[in-house]
Amino acid sequence: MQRRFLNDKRGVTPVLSTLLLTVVAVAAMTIATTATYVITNNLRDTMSERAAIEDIWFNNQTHTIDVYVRNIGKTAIQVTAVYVNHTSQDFTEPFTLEIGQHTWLNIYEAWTSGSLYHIDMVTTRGTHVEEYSTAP
Amino acid sequence: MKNIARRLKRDRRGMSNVVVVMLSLVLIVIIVANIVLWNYQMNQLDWERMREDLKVTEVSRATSSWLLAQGEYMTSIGSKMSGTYRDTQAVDDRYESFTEGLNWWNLNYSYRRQTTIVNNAPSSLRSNYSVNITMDTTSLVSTGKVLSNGSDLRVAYWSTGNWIELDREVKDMNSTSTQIWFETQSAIAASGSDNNYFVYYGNPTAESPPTNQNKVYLWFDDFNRADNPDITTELSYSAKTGGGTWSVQNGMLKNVGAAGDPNKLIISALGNVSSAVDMLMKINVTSFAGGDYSRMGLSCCMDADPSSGSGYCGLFHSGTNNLDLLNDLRSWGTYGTYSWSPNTRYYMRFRVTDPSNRLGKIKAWPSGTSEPTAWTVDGNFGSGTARNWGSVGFAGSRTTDTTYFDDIVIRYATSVEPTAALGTEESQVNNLLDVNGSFEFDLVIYPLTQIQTIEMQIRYRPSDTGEKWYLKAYNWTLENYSDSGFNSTAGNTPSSGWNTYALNLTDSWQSYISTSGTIYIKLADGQPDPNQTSIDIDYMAVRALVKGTAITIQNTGSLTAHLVSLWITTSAGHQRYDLDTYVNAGDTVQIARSDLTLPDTPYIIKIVTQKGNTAVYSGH
Repeated sequence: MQRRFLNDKRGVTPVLSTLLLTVVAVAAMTIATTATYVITNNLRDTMSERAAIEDIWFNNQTHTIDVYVRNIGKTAIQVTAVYVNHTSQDFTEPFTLEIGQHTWLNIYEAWTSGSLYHIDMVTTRGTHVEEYSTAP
Repeated sequence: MKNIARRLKRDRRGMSNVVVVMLSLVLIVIIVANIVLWNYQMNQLDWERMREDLKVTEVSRATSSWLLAQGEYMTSIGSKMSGTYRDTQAVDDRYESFTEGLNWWNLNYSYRRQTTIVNNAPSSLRSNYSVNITMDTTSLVSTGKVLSNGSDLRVAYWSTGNWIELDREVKDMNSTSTQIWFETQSAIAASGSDNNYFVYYGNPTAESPPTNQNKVYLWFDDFNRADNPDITTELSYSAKTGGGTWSVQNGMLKNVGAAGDPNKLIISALGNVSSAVDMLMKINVTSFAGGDYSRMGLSCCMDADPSSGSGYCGLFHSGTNNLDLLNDLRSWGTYGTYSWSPNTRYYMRFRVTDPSNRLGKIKAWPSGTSEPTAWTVDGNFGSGTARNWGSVGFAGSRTTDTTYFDDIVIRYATSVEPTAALGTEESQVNNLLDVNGSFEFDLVIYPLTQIQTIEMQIRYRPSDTGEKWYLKAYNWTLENYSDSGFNSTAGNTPSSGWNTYALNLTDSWQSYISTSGTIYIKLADGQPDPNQTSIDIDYMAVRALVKGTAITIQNTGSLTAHLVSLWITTSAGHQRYDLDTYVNAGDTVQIARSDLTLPDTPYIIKIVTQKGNTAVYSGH
């Protein structure tokens, strides 16, 4: 029996090829499914990002621009960059806001009374939350 | 179809291609559907966010709602004309009207004196008790305030919102001691008093006064009617006992005695009189035989034992020097000495004071003279079996004596007579109004510790703009009405038409609210004046300013809004407060926060919704 199997070269190839094809098909489908999941989630998270600026306080005591941010979207957001008048500014530190959370964001900008400021916060997913405000 | 199936069976690669394509399509559909559906959701969120529209319409110190009167206003001076307290609960076209004055019974009378009846006895004084007021009418007549015939001397009783004019009898008019008799209209508690009686006068055109003496006394009869040979044909005197005749002759009651015992004429109209009475009459004996059977006078406590008409009696008896007490058919009591003459008119007063102890009193005095203070006889009815209360009437002679009786007056009596105290003279032209209302704070909702002050407001319309009106509150510490400590004590001079007048009780509010939350408010004019002003009250209310701030928010959008943040921004800082309030579409809510105090400097209030929209209010 063993001898016959070894001597019959024609029987191995179809089996191997079938196995290989199955593995390749399964791998391909797994990759495709995972990619679909990742792509879908990312797209959905990006679409779900919403944030609102409740208050902007040109703080005389700390000489900062304090922005109160609320996550009004359907996913957690991480603020990674803040621009004041299109110039990147130092702020407290990158922070995450879960759904419905709210907090102060302190921007270290030497503001001038009477000037108009464009404040732009950017999340890791690239969402911009912008507001104009004039310093009192 | 058969060919395709056959071909697929032969060509295995074709099957794999179909499966791969199908799976790929499924994945693509999943991706697209997921993205599309999620995008739809987020678009809807954005759409809803755009449709939110909120307005902060008012920011003020927190207050209670306006408290309205929950019962009818009282007028201690003046009177109500129309409407009810319910008409003062809203600013609308309904109102309650009052008029100035001293709650006057009859505007044709210029003056009055309030009268207080004091029950001096340790037991209740019954209603329909005859009382009298003594007043000096000489000076009133001489100054033209009272007609000399006294026809404008009236007695009125204020009874739960209504005036009742009382029948009265005036004695000794135009003297320094004119007596005005009338009946009490309600019982007076032991040692209590009733000040709802008023003597009115000062009406030069007064017509005949009510003088029905059967409404002044328990019984009165002057016999001024047509002669009647047998008075027992009258319903009121239908019962007589013994012998003799009783007739009405020349406006008097005439008795001709005859054999029989006891010979009585019973006032059957009174039935059984179950309490002490005072009996007074005029008596004139025109034919007097003398001896034991000659007896005439008054009788009380009559019953049928041992014979009908038996009772206690007070009598001229036997001779012209006797005034005696008798228990019919049982015993003679105290013999009194009183010299009297036939054919002379006397007054005789008789009273049984204690029937069970057989005690009684009698006195007589000539008509036209003053009544003696002392009783001629103050004794007993002998040792015969005592009697109980019973019928009352006249006692006639057992022999051929002829006696005339007249002007019988019977009234209830007590051992301690009530007294009447006259107040000072009041004039109708002293027009004043005093309207009081009661307002209740629910201290569960508005604890006293949370109240900062109290405000009151009235919307009113006086007919006369020439005088000031004041709002006052009852000071529970001083126990009187006052406006001390109010933000204004100057009063309000109204203009024609409707006027709104509001006052703040400032820091003194605690004196004006009871520990149970009651506030009494009074509307009164300042000075009496000759104009009788009427006043319409459309709205009268009280409210408390409590600690904190009230913010009124109107949702003019088409969706329910969830308020999550409240900001108060001043130059000194930005303060955030958490909110968790929902406002329905088209609705208005008031958010009252005791932890929020409005700054004295200009401020901005900002309300933030869950979707990130804001409503802003600027205040200072």
